[in-house]
Amino acid sequence: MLFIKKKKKILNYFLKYADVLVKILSLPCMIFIIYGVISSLFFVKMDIQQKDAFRIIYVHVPSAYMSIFIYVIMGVMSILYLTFKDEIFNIIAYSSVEIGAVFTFIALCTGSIWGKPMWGTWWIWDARLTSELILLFLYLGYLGLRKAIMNDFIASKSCAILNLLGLINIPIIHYSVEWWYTLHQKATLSSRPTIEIEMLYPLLAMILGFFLFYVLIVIISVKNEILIKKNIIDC
Amino acid sequence: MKKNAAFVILYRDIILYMRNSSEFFSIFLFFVMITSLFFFILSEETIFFKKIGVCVIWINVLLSMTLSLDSLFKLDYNYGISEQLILSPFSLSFLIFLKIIALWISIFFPMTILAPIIGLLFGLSFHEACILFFSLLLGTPTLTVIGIIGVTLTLVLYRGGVLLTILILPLYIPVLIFGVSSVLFFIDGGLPFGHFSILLSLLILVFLIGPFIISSSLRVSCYL
Repeated sequence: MLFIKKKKKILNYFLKYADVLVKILSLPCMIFIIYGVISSLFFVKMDIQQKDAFRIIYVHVPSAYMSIFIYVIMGVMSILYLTFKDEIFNIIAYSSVEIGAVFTFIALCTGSIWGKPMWGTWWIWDARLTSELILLFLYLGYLGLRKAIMNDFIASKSCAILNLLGLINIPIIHYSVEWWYTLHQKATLSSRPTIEIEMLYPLLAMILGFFLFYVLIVIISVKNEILIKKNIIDC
Repeated sequence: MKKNAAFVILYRDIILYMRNSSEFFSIFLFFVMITSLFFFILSEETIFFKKIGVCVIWINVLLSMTLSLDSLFKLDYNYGISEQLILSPFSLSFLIFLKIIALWISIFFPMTILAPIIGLLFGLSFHEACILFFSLLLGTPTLTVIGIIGVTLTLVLYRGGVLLTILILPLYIPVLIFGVSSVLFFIDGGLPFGHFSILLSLLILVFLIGPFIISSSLRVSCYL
């Protein structure tokens, strides 16, 4: 609580520009997602082998990307919080957790919906799937620890340490398709993408849209957190 | 002076664990009981009886570890000994390192000896039991360090047991994978030196960074 009084400047600065940022970012976010959805559902040609089922990639891949990306962002924020002890990093990390958990859940769900007709099974214990599931557990563990500890200072510090520990899982997820022989296919997007250009653009649009969506939600929830903390101090 | 302090901490911890015999034996009893429950479920005609046995033993070691860690480390915190450790002139990570060693020697080393003996009941041959012993020997110190990290993170909670398992079980998975697969690999007829070297490297890594993480989280939990 003391930190907020000391470093009120950054938080006030944030509060001032949060609404403007939301307004600026919401338009491109909407455009990207609408373009991605419409073109992926109607304009992209059907895949020869997978028929229409492959279209789920346009939700699955962006959410899987986001699930990893958000955890990395949280890790960076935790490092910054532990070194600079600035409250804003802690708040950003804390408000990203739930979004990250939801994205992970979506990635797992859409993956298994796709897997039933393609692989013939909802779930298989291969490296990519298992490590993604572990990521979900890490998110939930963070959330559980955060909610369980009443003291705000101890909770945020402990969660930051836990978050840094969980970062070990990130390279495992990323390289799991290369290190182990798995059922999950190799990365589609790389320096030389293995996907038709026509299919690629909607996918990139969806990824950008999901990213902007995450930024939007984080800005809104960080603003909420700051307002709540301020109210506690004022009362 | 430093040597003396190290000796005192090691001696005190080991003696404490030994004298707290009900706690001490209940862990082993838990381990043996829960493993023997599996004999009732599985019949020996089950195809992979041996292999399932290895998995069961590893999982049970892990579970009894997680259950025991919470109560053991919490005593120190409740009696204010953690604060004394932080205030002492020696480096906290060094003292934590000693405490990890003491915990492992007094509880988990006996368990690594006990586990292969139970493995014999699952029909492992002598050599396979030896491999199981070595995999546990390389794996349990890593598990101890990771477990203590989880314990120090949840020290402030009145009942941190369930949350503790949620926090640390995901981090146990790599050790579990390589520990179990080393024995399974040997049963299939290979020599698991690769698995052992990975386990050993995990152990070294965890012992290098673990004490620092534990000491910082202990400082947080003690508000210092």
